[in-house]
Amino acid sequence: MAGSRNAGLAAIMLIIAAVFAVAFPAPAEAQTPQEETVDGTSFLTVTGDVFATEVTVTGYNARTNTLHLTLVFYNGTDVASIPYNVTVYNLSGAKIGSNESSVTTSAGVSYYTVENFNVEITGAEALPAGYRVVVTVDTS
Amino acid sequence: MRLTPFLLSMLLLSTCLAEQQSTLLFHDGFEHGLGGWDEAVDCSLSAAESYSGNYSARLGFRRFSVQYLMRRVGAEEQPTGSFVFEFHVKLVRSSMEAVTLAALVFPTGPVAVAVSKDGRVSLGFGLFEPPVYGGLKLKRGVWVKVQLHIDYEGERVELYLDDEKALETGLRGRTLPLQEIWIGTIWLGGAGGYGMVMEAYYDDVALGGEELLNPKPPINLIAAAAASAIIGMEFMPLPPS
Repeated sequence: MAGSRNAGLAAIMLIIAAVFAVAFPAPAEAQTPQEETVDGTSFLTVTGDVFATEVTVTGYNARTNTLHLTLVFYNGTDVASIPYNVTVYNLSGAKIGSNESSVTTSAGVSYYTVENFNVEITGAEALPAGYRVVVTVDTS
Repeated sequence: MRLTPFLLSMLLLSTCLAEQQSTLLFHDGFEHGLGGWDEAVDCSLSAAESYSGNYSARLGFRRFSVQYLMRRVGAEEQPTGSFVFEFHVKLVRSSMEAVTLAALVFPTGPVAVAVSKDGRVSLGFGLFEPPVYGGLKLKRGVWVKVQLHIDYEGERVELYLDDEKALETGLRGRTLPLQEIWIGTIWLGGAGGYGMVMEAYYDDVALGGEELLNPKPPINLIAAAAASAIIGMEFMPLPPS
């Protein structure tokens, strides 16, 4: 079953990138002296039929310097697996962490959720105040 | 003289506390800088605020998403049994979320002191483990003494704010040796919805024996002492008119 799907896609190259940015800018205005906001922005670039529809930062552990993510992938075609790479950059564009894995697909299922996907931050002593998380799916 | 029952109860209480062994394993009032800590992230020395002496450690949002001081606990500072971790904190500003104030790291996992968005203090045992909330709130903008009592005999963890017990929960298998002391943010997000410290000051961080505890007497003890005092007063002869 999986093999037949792969054969059907042999001549098709799909490079899909979902790019999300998460930034914590210095708070410009405080709602109260005690409570201030930190905000993130996200955007999505899709160039194929398989891509990440959601990238959520669920936690960060300063002791292990590890970022915890929940990812949701959409499979709009007929691939046997969804290989993906998650790379974290600082706002200067330097890579500060990366990890990769893959999701095995099932017939008739379009959405796949990956919980507690971890990326160790190795290029910085701690998670910077501003950073970008880039999820790339390459089914070529 | 008629107040003897009251005085006796107070004397008994103070004697019990004084008999505990005195051991101070570690203390840092930041009078000599931040050199006693292995890692300092978004932390600086402050001469503008202090609980005692002239300096405190200031944690504040600057370059990183977390703000902390971390110290690995050496063999000479190791508790051998139940102990107390104490610090003084002045939390001025934080993000609109809960925030971890400090943590102890054991081989079997951490214990983190946190304050929720509405000011309630809590204890967390893991990033994705729901925290245990206490009944007291931490006042912002003023110095507060926070004490974490790791009680191996009673297999419990107690949290005190200014000598008043805020919560008590099970030890959950946290075993010695004590590996690290964290001041500030150890987690973001997670089950507690933790956020960032925007501005906080820490002073007089200490690790020691249970003699560091000076709990306020429970309400029922105060009531009993007051009742005994009143009973004693009832038998006092009225002064001659």
